[in-house]
Amino acid sequence: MLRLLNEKDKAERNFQKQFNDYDQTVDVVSCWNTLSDFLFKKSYFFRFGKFRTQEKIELTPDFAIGESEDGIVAAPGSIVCDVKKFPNPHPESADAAEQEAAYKIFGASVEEVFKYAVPLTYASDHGNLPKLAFHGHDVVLLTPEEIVDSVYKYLVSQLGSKPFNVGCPLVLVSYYYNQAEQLERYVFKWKQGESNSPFSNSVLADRMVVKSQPLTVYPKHFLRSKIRHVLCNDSPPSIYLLVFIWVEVLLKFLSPDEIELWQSTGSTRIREIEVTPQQLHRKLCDEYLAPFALRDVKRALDALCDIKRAVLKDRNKELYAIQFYNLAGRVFRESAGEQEGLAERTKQREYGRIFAQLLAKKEVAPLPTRKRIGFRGSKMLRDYPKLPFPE
Amino acid sequence: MSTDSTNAPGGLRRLLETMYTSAQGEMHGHVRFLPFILKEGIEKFLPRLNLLRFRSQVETFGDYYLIRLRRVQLELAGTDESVSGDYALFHLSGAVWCFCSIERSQVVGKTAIAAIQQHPARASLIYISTREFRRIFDSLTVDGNRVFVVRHSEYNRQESNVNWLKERKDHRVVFEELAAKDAVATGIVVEVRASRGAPVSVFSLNNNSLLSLRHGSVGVFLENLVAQVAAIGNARNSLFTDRERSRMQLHPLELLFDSGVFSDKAANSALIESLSSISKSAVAVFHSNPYIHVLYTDFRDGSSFNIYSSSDSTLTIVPSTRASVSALMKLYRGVSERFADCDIAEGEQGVPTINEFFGG
Repeated sequence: MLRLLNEKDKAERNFQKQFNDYDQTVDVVSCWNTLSDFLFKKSYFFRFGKFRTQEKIELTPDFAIGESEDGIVAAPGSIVCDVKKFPNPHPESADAAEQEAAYKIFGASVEEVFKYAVPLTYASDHGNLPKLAFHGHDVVLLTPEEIVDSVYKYLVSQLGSKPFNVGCPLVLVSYYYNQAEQLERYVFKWKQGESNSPFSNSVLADRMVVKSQPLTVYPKHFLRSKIRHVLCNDSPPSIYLLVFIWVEVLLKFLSPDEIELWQSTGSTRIREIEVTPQQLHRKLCDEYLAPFALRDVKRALDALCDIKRAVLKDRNKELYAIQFYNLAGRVFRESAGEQEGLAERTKQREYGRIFAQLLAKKEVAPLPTRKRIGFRGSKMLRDYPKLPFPE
Repeated sequence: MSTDSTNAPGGLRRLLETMYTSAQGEMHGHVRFLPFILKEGIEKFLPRLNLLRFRSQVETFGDYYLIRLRRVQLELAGTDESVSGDYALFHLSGAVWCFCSIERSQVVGKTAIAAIQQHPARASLIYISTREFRRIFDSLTVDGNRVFVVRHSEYNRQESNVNWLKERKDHRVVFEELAAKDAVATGIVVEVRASRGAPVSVFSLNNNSLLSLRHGSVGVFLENLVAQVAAIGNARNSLFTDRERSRMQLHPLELLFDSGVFSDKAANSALIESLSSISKSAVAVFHSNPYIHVLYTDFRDGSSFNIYSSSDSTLTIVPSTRASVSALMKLYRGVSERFADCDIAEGEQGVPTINEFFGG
C-alpha cells in the first residue's frame, strides 16, 4: 500500500511537471511572439504549423520570425527557433557506461536543432501567414540557463569551427525567470563565448551580442499572446489539455438557460455533456487562436474515460458523454491536506492538482482482483459520484 | 408583512409613501430598495421570475409592477424553502431596475436576491465595495451633515470571519479602523444628522446594495442614496458589458490595488485562496510563483477569465468567450473582499519599448 502511495505521488509530480514544462515553453514562445510584434519590422511570427525542406521533409520548429518586405522571402536575420530542455548529461548516480549513454542521448537531443539549417518554406495554412521562404536564416536554440554551459561545450566539441555554423549560423541563447527583483520577467541571454554565433538580426546582434544586454520580457507583455494562443507548436500533454477543456471550454457547450437549470438543482450534481471529438475540436479551433489537433482532443477525451469522468456512449458516432461537475467541490480520498489548513485546501481545489491526482491514480491503480471484479468488498467512500456506466 | 396588491395606490411615489407609512407602523419596519442590473427587457425578465425555484404573480401599474415572489421547494432540493415576499419593481435609470419592499431583509435575501442570482446571464446584483461605501457616506456630509455609523458588519481578511459591531462612531473613524484591521464593510447602519443635531435619516446599506430606510424622507432617499447606487450599477454595467474575447481581440479589465500589493510573493497564495473561496467557481493555476496566472470559471453561467498580475499593484482580467456582467461583478467582489481593496477599470495595453526589452 505504501509503495502504491509513493508511486502515486511520483506519478502525480510527473503529471504536474508535464503541465509546468509545457506551460513554460508556451511562455517562452509567447515572449518571442511579443518581441516579434513590437520589435521586428514587417515581421511574421510563425507560432504554429510546419515548414518544408526542399527534399519535402516537414519540420515543426517551436517558432520562427520572418522579416519580409514582399511576403515571399524572409530577409537575412530571420530566425528559426527551438525551445529545448535537455536531459542531464552527467547524472550523478550513474556508472561510466551509463554516463556515456546519457551523454550520447544529450548530444543527440542537442543536434536535433541542426535539421533547421536548410532552406525552409512555411507550408501550413494557419492564420493567413504567407508561405515565406527562409534561406539565410539563423537557427536559434533556446535552453534553460542551468544547462547552457553543457550545451555550449558539446557544440564546441562537435562543431570545431567558429562561430557555430551547421549550414546556417547557430545561435545559442539561455533563458531563466528572474524573480530576484521587484518586477519579474523572463531573461534571455546570448551565450557568451567565442564559438557562439552572433545574431544576424542587427538589433539583436547590437543589443544582445555587442552590448551584452539581456532581452527581458515582462508577464504583462507576453501573457496576452499566451492567452490568445493557449498552445505552442508541440502537442500539449493530456493534463494541460484536460485542465483547459474542463475549466474553460466544456461549459460553453451549454446555453445559459441549461446552466441555470442545472445550477438550480444543486451545483454539485452531474450535468452530462455529450460531445464528439470533432465538435470539441471545432469549438477549440474556432474560438481560440490555436490549431488544436483532433488526435490530441481524442486523446483528452479518452483520458477522461480512463479517469471515469466520461464514457464513450456511442462508438460508431464517436459520441462521448462527459460527466461534468465542479471537481473542486469534492473532497478527495487519500489527499494529504485535509488537516493542513486553508493553503493546502486551496491547492486541493486547484484543477492542475486535481487532474494530476486523477491521472496518477489511474496510472498506478492495481489490477483488479477476481474478488474486486465480482463484488464490491468495502464501503469506502468514493472520491467521485457514482456514474451511470453501462453494465 | 406584505402590501395589499389588490388595493395598490396609483403612482410610484404614492406607493413608496404608503410603504413607508406601513413600515413605520412596524417595530423594525423598513422600506427596502434593491437596485440591480438587468441585461434584457423587463418583459422577458418577468416570466423568468416564474421559473425554476420561483413562482410569481405580477400586476402591471403605470410606472411600476407589483410582484408576489415565492421561492418554492424543488423536487430535488433537501429542505423546504418556501418563502414569499411582495415587491414593487420599477425602473431606476439606464440598465438598473429596483425591487422595493417592506419585507424583512431575510425574506428579501431568499426571494428577490436569490431570484436575481438565479439568472446570472440576465441580471446582476450591484456589489458595493468598501471604497464605495466610504464615497457614498462622504457625499452625505454636505451642508454640515454628519454621518454616524450605528452598527456595522465587517469581514476580517486576517481572521476570515464576519463580525457585527454595535458602536456609534463617525463614519470616517469606522473606515479608518476597517483599513487598520484589514477588514471590509459588508453592511452598515447609519444615522445622518444635520449640523444642528437633528436626525435627518436612519438607514442601512449592505454590499449587495440592499438599502433599507428606517427613518427619513423616502423621496430624498430614492433620489439621493438609491440613485447613487444605481449610478454605480450603470457604471459597472458599461464597464463589464461586451468584454468577451473574439478570437484575436481581447478586452481586458484591470483591478487597481494600493502600490506594492504583489511585491510580497505571499500575496500570490492569498490571492489564489481568495479566488478559490468564491462560491460556484473553479480555478486552474498556470503560475502561482513568481508571477501569478490563473484561469477562473464561474459555474453559474460558464463565464471564464484569465487573471494575471501585471505589476506590483495591478491584476489584469481577460474575459474569455463568455463573460457575463454578474460573473465579473462576483469576481470583483471576491477579490475586493477576500484579498484587498481595489478599483476596477478598463485595461490598458502598454506597448513595450526597446528599452524595456533590453533595459536589464
